[in-house]
Amino acid sequence: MSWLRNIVLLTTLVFFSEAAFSSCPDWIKNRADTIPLCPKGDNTILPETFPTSAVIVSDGSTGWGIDSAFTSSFVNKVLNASNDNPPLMLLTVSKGTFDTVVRNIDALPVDIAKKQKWKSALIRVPAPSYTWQQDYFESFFNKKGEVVLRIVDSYKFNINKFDSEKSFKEISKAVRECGFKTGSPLKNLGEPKGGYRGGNIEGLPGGFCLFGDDAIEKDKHWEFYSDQFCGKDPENKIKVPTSWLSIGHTDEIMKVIKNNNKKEPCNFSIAISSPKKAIELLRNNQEKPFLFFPQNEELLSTRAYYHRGISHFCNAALDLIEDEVITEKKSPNTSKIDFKLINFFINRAYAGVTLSFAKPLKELTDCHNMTNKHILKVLTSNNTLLKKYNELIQQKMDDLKKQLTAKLKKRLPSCTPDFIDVPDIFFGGQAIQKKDGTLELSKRFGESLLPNSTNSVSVDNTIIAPISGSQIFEKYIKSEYKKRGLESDFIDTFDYAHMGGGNLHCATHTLHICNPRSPE
Amino acid sequence: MNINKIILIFMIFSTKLILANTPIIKCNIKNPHWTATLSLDGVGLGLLKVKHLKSKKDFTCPLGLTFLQDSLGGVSPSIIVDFNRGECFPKSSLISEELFETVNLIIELRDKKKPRGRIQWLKKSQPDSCKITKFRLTEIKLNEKRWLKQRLNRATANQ
Repeated sequence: MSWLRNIVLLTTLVFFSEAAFSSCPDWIKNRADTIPLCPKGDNTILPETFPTSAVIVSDGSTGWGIDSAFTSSFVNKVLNASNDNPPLMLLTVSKGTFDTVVRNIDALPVDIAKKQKWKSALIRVPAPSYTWQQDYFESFFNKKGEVVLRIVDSYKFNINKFDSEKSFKEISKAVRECGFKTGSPLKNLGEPKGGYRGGNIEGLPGGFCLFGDDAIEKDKHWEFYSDQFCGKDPENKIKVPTSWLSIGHTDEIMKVIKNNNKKEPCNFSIAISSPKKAIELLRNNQEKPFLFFPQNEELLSTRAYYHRGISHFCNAALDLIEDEVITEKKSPNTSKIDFKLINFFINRAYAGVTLSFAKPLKELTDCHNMTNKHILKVLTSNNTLLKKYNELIQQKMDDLKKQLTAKLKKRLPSCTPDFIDVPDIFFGGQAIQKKDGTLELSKRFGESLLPNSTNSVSVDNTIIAPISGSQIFEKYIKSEYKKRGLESDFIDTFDYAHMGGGNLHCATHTLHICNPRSPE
Repeated sequence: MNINKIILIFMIFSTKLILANTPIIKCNIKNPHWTATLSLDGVGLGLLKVKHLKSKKDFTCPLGLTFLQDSLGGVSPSIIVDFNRGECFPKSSLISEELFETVNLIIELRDKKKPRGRIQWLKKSQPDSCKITKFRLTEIKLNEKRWLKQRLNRATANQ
């Protein structure tokens, strides 16, 4: 009867690897008392400070095909952060990746009961592997406290053959057992634009919705779209300045997180990108290497060479080194022609030597040797356009803080909004001179140089953030989260998402949950 | 070797040569003051042709390719092309003062049959959309690989 034994064994294996999840976790099904009440008002998007009921992630890396290691590492981090109340883990992955995820949970140093609980939260969704799980739908809540998923109608690419409708259908089916609903599609007026996607729609405590202004040129188009989820009161809406970014999404520059040191309704903080903070940290740690990927050190030089932004900064640093050598070599009597000759011949020989950096920076293949001092010089030198560009972005972020403070103060007068300046450096765009002589950011060209920490995921009291690539930035972010009673965990997203212009938040999707309020 | 084979080899070789010098990307820009054409050819050379509408003056400048990236799997599928203006300082034209040090072109590819360009080039005017009139994706991808390799070889040789 060995054939019968084999069939039983095979069936068991298939059951545990494909459909380890059999029913909705109790804490979601029974609506545990620990789940906070839904916000008042008619806005329908929850801030990500609310409990995470489901997490969606794929294994389709932006540049390298299937990346099971990333998915498995992310799943472990989410489960570890969620502890006894794991969210549903919806994995739009290959069979091989799903098996890797299960195997790696088995190998974790936790007790068997916990492993079983964690594995039972896994669902393999029969949808294609696709990196950007954030953007083709968005999750909301209704008056009954139900989670409502809505597809972004305009999300149709014919370039990478991703069928957003099929994926959305399968995800909706997978969460049905938990009582999650499917709502009407989010429709847009005019042409489909990048701004209409999930990553551009976020929630803020106080019943606010955040919606970036990216590429939505006409106000009536922006109003029409946001009317579908922000509620009737126009005061619910906050227009986030994102049109200067190449992708143009709110989650690229800000994130709302918990603050465990404050009481309700003020128990939240807002992390906002800050070039100013980045410069401050670089200035205080000039001799340290700029790039730091402790888990993937062997990839450092490749990443530094192939990434557009790093290459951009490296070029600018090389130019500055040449300029400095020229200044040092040039005597008061040097003619203009001599000066050019020095520039052409001598600088090459001296480049990288006179500035006494720890490791030489002579060519583009040395970019991984850049120190914080190099980046600082590029960001503070009047010879580079990056200085003005990042200053203008800082102004934009300061204005955003003022706008948020004014809105929050009005609705939550007892709260003093708490902001975290997240170090971030941008490139790609330019400062455009307006007719009145003032400068403004060019539209749709800005990108984050390093994986941006605002593009992270909240699970219970942990922020899972991309490894920033800068040791000092990461250390600072960690300490800021700790001050607010939060743990932090980091994952390497450079190849999986950063190379494609997005990051951890863009590559995942978290569904948040609230308990319904009794009718007043 | 028979004559047919020789003809075939000659044809492949000459086609390659012709293709190398023909644009693989071309976009036309129109704004109230200028009309311009920006192109990239098969050997990685950029070319900017500008015509000032009022003065009727025009100029042509070579641009250096500084970055070429196929981001088809990115959040917004696109091709990114960065040029350096290099020695592009036309004497007779006001535009000389208005050109940025770098010229950036992003070709959005929601639909590869309808690529859309956006360009960043003038200090006082942006955004400029540009109409893509030539777009050869396969050759762009080939060129990207070749260009990255050349850049690496050049850097290593200089060391």
